[in-house]
Amino acid sequence: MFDLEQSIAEWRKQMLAAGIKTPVPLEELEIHLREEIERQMKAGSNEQQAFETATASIGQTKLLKMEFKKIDAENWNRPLAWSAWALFAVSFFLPALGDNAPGWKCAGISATAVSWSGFWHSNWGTIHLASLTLANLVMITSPLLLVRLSRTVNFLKWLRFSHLAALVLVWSYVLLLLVFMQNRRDLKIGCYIWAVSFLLLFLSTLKPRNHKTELRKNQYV
Amino acid sequence: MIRKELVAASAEPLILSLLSKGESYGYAIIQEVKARSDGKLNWTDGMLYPVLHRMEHRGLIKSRWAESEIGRKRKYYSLKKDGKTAMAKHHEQWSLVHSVLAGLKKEQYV
Repeated sequence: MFDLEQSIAEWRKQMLAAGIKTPVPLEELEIHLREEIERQMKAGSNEQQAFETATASIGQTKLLKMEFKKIDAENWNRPLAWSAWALFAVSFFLPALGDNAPGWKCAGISATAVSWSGFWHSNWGTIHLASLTLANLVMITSPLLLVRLSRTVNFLKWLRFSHLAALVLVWSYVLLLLVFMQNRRDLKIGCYIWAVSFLLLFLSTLKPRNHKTELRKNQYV
Repeated sequence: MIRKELVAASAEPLILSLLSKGESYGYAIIQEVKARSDGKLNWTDGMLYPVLHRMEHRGLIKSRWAESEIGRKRKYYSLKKDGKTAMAKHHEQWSLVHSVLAGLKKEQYV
């Protein structure tokens, strides 16, 4: 006995398995499927026939996945983002400050700065240092957020803003260190690489408006 | 049946023109295109959504979720200012192509 709801659930699973994992397109496609099933049934088809016709008209899952992937590629620059993540990871193992303190140690100092007594007495230097943990968190969560949610226009705008905020925090700290540090040589390669990774991350989410994108835009129906 | 390349090229101007009449949702857009072309402009239904999403990202259209009169959740798309400009450009270009073709055809019968 054909069960329409179960068949729709199975179709949804197939879509998920094929890679259409972001909620909005999948929900829209399911709504479309249900509308077409309803139309087919009004035209006289039984549930099974209506379901089969509707799923066929939606199109091949692989092709759909490819088209949605292309939107991702247009929304953020993957090579730049990957470079940012790679540099960020590398910077944790390179000497960053003073006596060759590695990046991970500096990140630890920043993370614990919030508990320092100065933090609660409006010591802006400490607050600035502690806020770098937020910037690090933005970087760490960015792969997941970009891959899963970059198709949502408003979310992408928010993501761009958070990347810009992290960039400002990081670079203002590095510049302050450069200005006020007695010995500028104390700022090591790891610190610069870490700062550059935030610049690349921000650039990766800027809307690319290149010629290829314009050429591709009409090729999808 | 109309060639795939022409169907693809006409997708954006058709969507923009349909939305210029008022907001609409994916399924209704496809049905209207089918009806207006007597089924000759045959889009693969699912492929409409990447096109809509791309147009939304380019700032030509915007979307909102709402419930239909029968209580069904739908994502409605509507035209933005840039979309109106893009539509005018499309109309201009397609009209030019049409007038050149029509002129050439006319000459064949003179």
